[in-house]
Amino acid sequence: MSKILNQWKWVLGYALLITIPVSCRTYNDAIGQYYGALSQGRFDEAATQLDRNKFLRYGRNKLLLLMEKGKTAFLQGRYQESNLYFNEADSFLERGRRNKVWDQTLGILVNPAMQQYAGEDFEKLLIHYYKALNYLQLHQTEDAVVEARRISLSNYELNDRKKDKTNKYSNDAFALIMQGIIYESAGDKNNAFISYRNATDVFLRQPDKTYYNTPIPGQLQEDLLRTAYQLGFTTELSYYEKELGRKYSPVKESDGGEVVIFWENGLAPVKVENNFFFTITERGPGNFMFTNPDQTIFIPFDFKLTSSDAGNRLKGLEAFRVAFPKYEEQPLYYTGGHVQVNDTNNIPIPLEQVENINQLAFSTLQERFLKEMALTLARMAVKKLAEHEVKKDNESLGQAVNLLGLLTEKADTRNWQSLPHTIYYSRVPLKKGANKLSLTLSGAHGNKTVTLDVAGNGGLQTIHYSSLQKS
Amino acid sequence: MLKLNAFAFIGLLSAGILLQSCAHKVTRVSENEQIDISGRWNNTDSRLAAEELTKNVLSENWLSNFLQQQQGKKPVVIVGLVANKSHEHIDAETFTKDIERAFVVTQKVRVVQGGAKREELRGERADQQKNSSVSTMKKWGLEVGADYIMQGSINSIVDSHKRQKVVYYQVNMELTDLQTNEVVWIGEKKIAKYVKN
Repeated sequence: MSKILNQWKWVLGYALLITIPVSCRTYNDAIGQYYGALSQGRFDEAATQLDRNKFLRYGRNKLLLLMEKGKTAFLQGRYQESNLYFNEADSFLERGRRNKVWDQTLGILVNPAMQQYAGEDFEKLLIHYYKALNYLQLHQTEDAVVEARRISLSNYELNDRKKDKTNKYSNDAFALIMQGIIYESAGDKNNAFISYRNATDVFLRQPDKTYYNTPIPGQLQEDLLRTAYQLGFTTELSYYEKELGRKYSPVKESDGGEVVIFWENGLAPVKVENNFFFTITERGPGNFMFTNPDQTIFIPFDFKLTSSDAGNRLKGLEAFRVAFPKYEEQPLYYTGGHVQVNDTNNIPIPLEQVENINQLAFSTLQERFLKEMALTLARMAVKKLAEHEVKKDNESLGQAVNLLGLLTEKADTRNWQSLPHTIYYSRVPLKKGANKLSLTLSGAHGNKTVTLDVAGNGGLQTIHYSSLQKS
Repeated sequence: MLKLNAFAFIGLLSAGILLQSCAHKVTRVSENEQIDISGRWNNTDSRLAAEELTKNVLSENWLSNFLQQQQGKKPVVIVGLVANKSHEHIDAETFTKDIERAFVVTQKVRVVQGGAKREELRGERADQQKNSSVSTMKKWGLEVGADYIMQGSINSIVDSHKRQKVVYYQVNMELTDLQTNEVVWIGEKKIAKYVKN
């Protein structure tokens, strides 16, 4: 008996030790200053804040630190430096967690916020987007093409894991569009066509032809039909003309080439903690379920590892408080925009929405809610069982375990917050030599016009502009 | 009993996690070994396409006809573009290189460089006109003109339902007489795969 008690003390002490760095702030609070500077466009200050931030220095936040460092350097126009961080983030993801067993045990015994951050699926794909943009800015086309190939691999991985389900995030349409743009910049029209076609198919597979709140971009349709036409793929051209309900008419290529302008608008949603309360009910003999007070959610008690009476022992215990992350949208300052080339008398070209990260974040969290909640409940049950056992021997120690359980129950509120709310794009023709693009952003708070200079070189280029304000 | 269970439970849980995490391991395999993992285009497909097409192109009538007409002079072939119309990014170079290699190794067909490589060669020759000694400088206008051009395409059809999928690839290669536009040879390789998730 005393031996067991001693063991428990050890467990308790250990648990307290690893709980010390846990506080009740969310991730957003912890990096608030960096985030504030960033949203107001003070990128240099944001970089300093980032370097000062202790929270991001923890080993478990390494990926977040790398992604934020990469993004800040990108915003500062330090493309080479940005890619040093993004490449490190990429290889971190390839390599996997430093000690998976210990990491997962921590997640189960304490909370998932103590685990190494492994990134949301869409975050992983966006690393390739930033890397590709950086390489294209640096005119390292071959490296950008490597990124295009890596987009395929990441998409395959996602696709295999989600079993290619159309109602789940199993493909990233935006990553495929980006892939097409990279191949086209490198002059590889054939591969660009395949990317555009795969992206188009992702949209067309949806019943309303809208992928995570993004309707199929007109530019994508144009790009697909154009590459099919240029390659002489007449069967494919007429097939997609029919599918998309539009005719392709060839446009004379402008001698300065074209530029794809990416406008990153607003900021990605932040994660906050949302508390759920569950009790255990028995639906039929031996069939235990977790259920919330209004009985709208039922999650099976699927403990393959426990003895069959675990549900019985937990039945009738007080309610479980389960902390689960919830996204909170960051309201947009600008809601639309257009671009004008060279002469303000020219017809403005609208910027089209190409990826709605806000929607993607909300939907993907929703998609994995049941699976993750089952895991979270398993974690809670472990804690409750431990408390239950200790209480039998020692009431006060039992209370301590209970308190510990309460204190450590915390949702993982980490996410890559410097991502934009929405990405827009537009492809505009250029004249040879110097070009002036005026980008006009509009919203309820007024308009803003920025001028960007691009030198037309005959090829396809990319530029980007970020407005990360929130209202 | 109950006390033990709680411990056993945590222990088992950790053990379960332990089992899930397998160590990273790399093993070298023969490049001829058929390993199908995802159902997508892989090295085996590339090898099979190359083997079939090479065998085919070197054994058909166009070659003997040419040798007969030209009194034993070997045909000169340029390997051109392979258009990828499939749903995947496929690098056709892995099997077009194998075909070129078979031409060179068997000495039945002569091959001349095409595409970007030819441009590079001409660039080098242009450079020699300025920078090489007259005795070693290579002259313009002495390239071997090709008799035939080899072109091709890769198509794919995917048929899927729930967790089952059939992926069908068709690689077509054709050889055209550069003088007359006459198609003298068509080779194809079909590959079908059944994938179940």
